[in-house]
Amino acid sequence: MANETKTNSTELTYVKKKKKLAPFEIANYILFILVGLIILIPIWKVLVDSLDAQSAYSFRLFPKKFSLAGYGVIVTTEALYRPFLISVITTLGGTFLGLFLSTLGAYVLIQFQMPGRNFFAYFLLFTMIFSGGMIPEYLVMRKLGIINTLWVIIFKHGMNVYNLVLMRNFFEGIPASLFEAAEIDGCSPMGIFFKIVLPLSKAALASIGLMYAVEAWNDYTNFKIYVTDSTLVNFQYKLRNLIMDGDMPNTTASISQNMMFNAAVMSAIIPFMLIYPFCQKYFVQGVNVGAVKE
Amino acid sequence: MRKTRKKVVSIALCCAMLASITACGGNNSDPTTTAGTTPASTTTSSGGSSNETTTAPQQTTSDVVKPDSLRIVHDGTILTEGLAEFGKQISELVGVNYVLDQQDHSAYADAVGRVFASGDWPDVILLPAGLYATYATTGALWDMTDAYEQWKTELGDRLVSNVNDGLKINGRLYGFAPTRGNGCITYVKQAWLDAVGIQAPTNWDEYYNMLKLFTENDPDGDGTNNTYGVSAAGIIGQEAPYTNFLPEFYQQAYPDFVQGDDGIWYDGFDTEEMVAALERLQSAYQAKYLDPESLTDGTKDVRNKFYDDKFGAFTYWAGTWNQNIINNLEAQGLSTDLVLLDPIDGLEQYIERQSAMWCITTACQNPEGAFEYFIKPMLDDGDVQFRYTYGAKGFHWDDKAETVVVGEGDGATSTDYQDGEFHMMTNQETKTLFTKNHLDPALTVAPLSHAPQSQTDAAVESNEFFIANSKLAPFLPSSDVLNDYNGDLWELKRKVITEVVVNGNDVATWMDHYRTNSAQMVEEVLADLNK
Amino acid sequence: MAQKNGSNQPTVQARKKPLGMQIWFYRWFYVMFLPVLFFVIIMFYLPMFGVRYAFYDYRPVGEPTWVGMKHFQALFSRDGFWQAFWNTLQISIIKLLLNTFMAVVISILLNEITSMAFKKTVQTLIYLPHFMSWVVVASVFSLILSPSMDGMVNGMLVDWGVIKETEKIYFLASPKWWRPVFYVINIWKDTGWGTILYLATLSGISPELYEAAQIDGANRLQRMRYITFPALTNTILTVLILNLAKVMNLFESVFVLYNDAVVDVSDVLQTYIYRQTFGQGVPNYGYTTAVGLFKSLVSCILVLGCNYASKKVRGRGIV
Repeated sequence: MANETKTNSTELTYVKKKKKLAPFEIANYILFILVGLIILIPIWKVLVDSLDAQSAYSFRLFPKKFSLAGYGVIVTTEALYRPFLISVITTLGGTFLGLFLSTLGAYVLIQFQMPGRNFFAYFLLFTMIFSGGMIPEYLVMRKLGIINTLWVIIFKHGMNVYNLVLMRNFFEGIPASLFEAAEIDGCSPMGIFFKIVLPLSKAALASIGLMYAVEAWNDYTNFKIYVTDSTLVNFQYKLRNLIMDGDMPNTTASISQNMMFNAAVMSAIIPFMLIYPFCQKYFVQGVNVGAVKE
Repeated sequence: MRKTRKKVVSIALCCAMLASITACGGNNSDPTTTAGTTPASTTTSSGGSSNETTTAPQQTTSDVVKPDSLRIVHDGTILTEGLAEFGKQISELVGVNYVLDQQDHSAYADAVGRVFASGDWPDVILLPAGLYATYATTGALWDMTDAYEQWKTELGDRLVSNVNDGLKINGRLYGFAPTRGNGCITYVKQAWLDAVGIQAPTNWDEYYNMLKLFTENDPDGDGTNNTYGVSAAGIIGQEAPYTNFLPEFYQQAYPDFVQGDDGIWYDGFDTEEMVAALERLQSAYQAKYLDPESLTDGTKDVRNKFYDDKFGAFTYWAGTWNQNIINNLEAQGLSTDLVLLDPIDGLEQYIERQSAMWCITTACQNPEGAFEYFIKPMLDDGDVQFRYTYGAKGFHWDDKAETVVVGEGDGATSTDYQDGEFHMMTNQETKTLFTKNHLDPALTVAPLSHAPQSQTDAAVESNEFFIANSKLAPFLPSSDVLNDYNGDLWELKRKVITEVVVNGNDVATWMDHYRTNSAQMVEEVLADLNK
Repeated sequence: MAQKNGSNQPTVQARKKPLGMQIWFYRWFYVMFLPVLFFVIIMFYLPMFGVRYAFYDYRPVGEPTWVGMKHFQALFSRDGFWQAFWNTLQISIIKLLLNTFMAVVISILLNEITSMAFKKTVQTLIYLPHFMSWVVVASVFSLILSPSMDGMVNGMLVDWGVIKETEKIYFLASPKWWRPVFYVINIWKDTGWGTILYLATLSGISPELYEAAQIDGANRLQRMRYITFPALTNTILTVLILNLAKVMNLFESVFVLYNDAVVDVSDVLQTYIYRQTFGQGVPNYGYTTAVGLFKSLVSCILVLGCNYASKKVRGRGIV
């Protein structure tokens, strides 16, 4: 970042590369190693227990009896394949709908001169404060006839005012001069939306999209309330029923119950652990730069 | 061209969304195809009035009309795996189309509330103990006393338990419990008893001494003093019968309203027995013979501690859990020799909790038919009862020649069966054997005359032990006044228990605190219950 | 970074057009807003009619009956309610401030790391706790904070000689320690997740600004203070105000961590109501709706208050 200067020009420039790190940076690295370790401790316990056929109550550094059987059960159980698919469907659907509505809404909300814009803003914010409660929501969903289908889940995740406001914040960061330039060029609002706003909001779309995706993926309360058809439940719900909830005994001779439980917990963490590094390239600095010479 | 195309696309998307919503409204109607469910109304059908005599039966079986279909709401006690197959088989056997509507098991009370609130009432609904009494008084459940009494005479000797008679409210029965409830018994590690050199305790002093030795004499032999005598998930439970995890301490004390033998209700918390129980708890907790973390631990944590050899006496559910505990101890490399402790003097018997009940709602068009063709077949000593007990043929059990594989990988075992040999099949989701379906063969009130063993010896043994050593928990009171004050009363009770047991304060002072603060509420509740 | 801000309009201001022309000018925006409007009405406003049940006795069986202010009277007359209410405000707001502060600090410091590989690893690691459910988190932390020999924290304290072996602290059951421990666990769980937003905002800062500042002689601290932090202010304020709306909803994290011994310091409104309604058998939705209405009113006051303060200080609120 601040150590090097690079230019795209063809002339040779002297690039000064610092050979040693400033004390601040060393301290920073050390700090984050410590932070990383501290964050890791509870996760490590879950990880170790998920790989330990003799998993115990107390804390261990390494599994006493290493075994992948816990994960084996989760991966080979056919009963989990369909719920996994359902999770993917509802996550993609919810994220897509969510991003669609948030970006449209946010784009409209930054039109400060538009009549009614303030009204729309308050209209949206009001819903964050007042709510009818779970039973009226249930009854409305029932009237719409979408109970016990996947639509109710997708709709519930698609409309999130919190994320919409955050998206609006990101859009506000786009320089006004860009909009003016486009208008002068004769671009319509939809055109500006697709050609300018969206391409410049990669970081916003990635981060808010991630938020939608995570919420949809981890959801199980909505399934508890709205979906009773056992062929339509998602991965989290099925996992909970299978392993986590209740005092219904699971007389397994070969696989420790605690191990399966912890493997289930880890399997909730692992998908996003793998996805995040791919999202991170959108958080790279300078993505928005260069469109207009200030 | 591109601009207009984008405009068209966005408008089209909006329209598509609008269309899909309205279209969905048409397709997905309620998942029921029953004959007649009416919205919430408190019309009572023929069995409800209290003017009619209870001696003469209302109708003979020849008058009862067979319904075309019945909608049943239930929880996870009818196995989810294979539910469709099970439903199909019993529908065929009885000749009625059963629509089995399974609700979320872990928050079933909420689900029941939603089912009723939506106005779309089922014909039959399974209600756990806590819900039965309260829904009964709202008039939502059909009075089945007469049908039950007649059936009782028909069953004759087959009926081995009259638990349903004890579940009547003011002499009327609003639901039927096909099994007795389960309960907890105390498991003690034999290896620990041997290590500290004592026999299984028979009275409180011996029990207390056992806890002391378990805590202080390093029974697990690892050289450090890191063990406890007993541990539990909470010093007092969250739901009835409240005292089932620490029965030796509570003995005869029961912390809720109880109906005495003379029929008068009284407050079980404000009694000598409760004071004694609190004193016992206090001394064990302060001395750390009772694991202090019992205050915060959940059932999973306590189980894991037991498997990790952290304490020696564990009170937990009888039946299949016995086998489960043994399996887990074995997986940890510990001895699986457990003593099923006879109830100590003062305790006399373990507590059997009230079981869930099948109730017919007042929205059912043909309640007599529902009783005749849903409830009675459940205990018909034939194919239907067999399926309620063991599951669907060909899914949960079978009697054809085949090989059954249990477990996975190295630990997998396979057994061969001949034609005609009854055997349970493997649950493909967990790779374990199915053990039973809705009815526990050991607890059924009218058992099968030929009930093959589907559970392991340990499970059967502990079931028999429990039945021989238990009595029913006090019946749950139902009263609107109590519902209003229940939250506050329990706040007080838990405060007293925590102050005395955890903080070591004087029992008498805190009992006075309870008495003064609850006096008015208790008075009103007792007036309502004893009217 | 140029900000398009509602209050600083470009200087050339044409004479105001009549309303009809303005609506026509913005017509496509209205069309774009239609799906949002549609969903909001269906998902939020239709159920909102249920708020009226706060004044009824609404049970699953039977028709709702009007009871007026009965539920509110029942609520306000109980001491437990007020204690829970004040606890909620205190715990929730402090938790919000701490979490936001930590997330911002971590984001700014993480932004300074140059090694991409290191940055990515740390980022992935710190946001993992968000994916563990509270039930599991409570279970693991109960173990870590256990007053027995197995508790890591007590073990370390004894090893370092801070406390004697007989003096082990039962953190989760101690009214003195419960809240600090609660805050720490919350920071552990949600800081990483919060950094996503701030890092995304920081990625929008042009590197040229930093270079220009460096050329002008600003040191690292000054660069952070004059460039990095102001860029985040808008996001921070938005997040704070939006989360104020949710402050009263605090439930699950407290529910899994509290117990009878610390009720006085830890009981929040939702847990109090949960206990009240737990043993009731047939639920009374009117009562829970009344509580919901009360919570909404409090949230409204908080949000409006903060919004007003924000307007006074920074010239604009959240709208």
